[in-house]
Amino acid sequence: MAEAASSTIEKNNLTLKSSYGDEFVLEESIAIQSVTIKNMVEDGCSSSVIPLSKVDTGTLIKVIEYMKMHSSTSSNEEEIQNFDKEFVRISIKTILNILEAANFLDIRSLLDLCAEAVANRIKNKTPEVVRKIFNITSDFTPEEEAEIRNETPWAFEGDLDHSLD
Amino acid sequence: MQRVRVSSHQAPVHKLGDSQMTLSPKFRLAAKQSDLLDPSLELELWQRGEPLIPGLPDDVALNCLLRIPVDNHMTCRVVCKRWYLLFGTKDRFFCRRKELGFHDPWFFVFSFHKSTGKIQWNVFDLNNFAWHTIPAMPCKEKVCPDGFGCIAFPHEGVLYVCGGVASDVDCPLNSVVKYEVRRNRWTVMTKMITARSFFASGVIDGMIYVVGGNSTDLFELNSAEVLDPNRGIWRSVSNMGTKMAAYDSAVLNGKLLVTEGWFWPFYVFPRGQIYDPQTDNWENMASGLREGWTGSSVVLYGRLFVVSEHERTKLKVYDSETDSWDTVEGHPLPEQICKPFSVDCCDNRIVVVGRNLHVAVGHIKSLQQKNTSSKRCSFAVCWQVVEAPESLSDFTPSSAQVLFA
Repeated sequence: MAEAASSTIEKNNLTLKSSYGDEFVLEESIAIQSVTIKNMVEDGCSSSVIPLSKVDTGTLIKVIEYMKMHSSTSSNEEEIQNFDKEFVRISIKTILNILEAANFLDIRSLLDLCAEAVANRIKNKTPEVVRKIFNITSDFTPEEEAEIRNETPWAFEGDLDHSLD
Repeated sequence: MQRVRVSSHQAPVHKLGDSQMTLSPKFRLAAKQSDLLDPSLELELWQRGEPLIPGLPDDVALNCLLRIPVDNHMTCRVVCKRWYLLFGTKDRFFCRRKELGFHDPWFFVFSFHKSTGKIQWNVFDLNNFAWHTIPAMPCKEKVCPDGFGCIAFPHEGVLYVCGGVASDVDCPLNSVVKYEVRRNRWTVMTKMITARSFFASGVIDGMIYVVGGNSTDLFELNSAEVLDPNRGIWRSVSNMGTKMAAYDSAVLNGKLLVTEGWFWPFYVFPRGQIYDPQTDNWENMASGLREGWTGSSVVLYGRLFVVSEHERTKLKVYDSETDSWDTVEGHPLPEQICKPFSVDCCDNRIVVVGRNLHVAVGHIKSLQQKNTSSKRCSFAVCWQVVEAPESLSDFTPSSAQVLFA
């Protein structure tokens, strides 16, 4: 405890290092929204720089932006909701990157937010568009695919979304 | 012995203690292409390293895909084989959700078609505001859509439907069926001791209580019985002090509250009874409680709320200390919600479904009591309306239960 008191300022900041080597200084109280980082701090592994070899700089910037907003005491519920809504208005590639980072860093609310965003991108889309968005190759034979479509032909009629957003 | 008839177009049903299963044509179709739904295919694809979503670990991808509304599954399963396995059947989908710890509310609405009288359970996803249906409930072919007792174990994703009325002979039923979300299947269960319709029901400490109602000889019953769902046995408990059919019931503080409600021409005050399973005793309900109980109830914040049967009225909440009712602040029930409606709740929300299956979700807030001398208006409600799709507009609800899955 005496040690903590003697170096309060230093203890309150953590340095996160992205896979590109960029370093970001962040208050510990903000960073420990990540359970992974929290565990590291509690285990005393945080004295120096925390390397995040799986998180690139662009993704780390977004994750820090999210954590800062969600730890701010000055923002109310509505502001946070609006922030979240804007936050996921990004390319699907970026969302998938943040998802992986949130999974690695164990930030539950960010993981949920991005997972919900991915599900929203899939809603009401045709299978072709979903494949294109997520770069999935169909492994059905044309006969198999035709058979599945024939089981529920009505599912492919009506207002399906063909956009790649 | 009276057997529950299952018509051929209905979904597979398990009869308790009977290994035979009735296969519906739909199920046979699924069985035919078992090569695509075969669980070993899942393993094979996984071993081959086919990701659910390229670039994501499978558990993270599943976290995304298991949020997709059920009405989208038919298009999603065409994407690739692994998606086909995930979205191919509802039981598999809901099992995976359980495995990943999803526990979201789904509003199960027992409804009937206005002109044909056909019974159908429609399910409203309270997260995505989307609808889907479940297999047809096994029951006699001609049943009155009202008069059943629907009892939920919300956190287990299990629903029981007991009793009811056969409409052709106007005779109450003693049948009991169970639906499980994770199996997406109905099971025929042990019958009640007494056939009854329009009765009270509730779950206390994991036991199902059914009380009163109309009997076979069309007189009202005072008998009560309890089912231990784990043992599958009904046994009688103390009779109610009075013979009556139930208008509504609720479980509050470990007791079952039963009211017969007001009925035309409103000359007599409605009777009400309260059962305490600890002592196996009945007592009369306080007059304020039974006289003010004018609609469908839910229990939230440990308090009894009533959505009045009259349209466009405000929500009210019972105060046991003064045996009186307080109005809940906020707007009355939205005008889109018309009689008859069914009500249930989850977390701090009241969910009301009305004619044509329009749904209103009322977010209830407990207000800070600044002035302790005034107990009025300690709750406020904020309504949100979700209009039903055209395809459901001919349905009328008769009961509704929230299940988590």
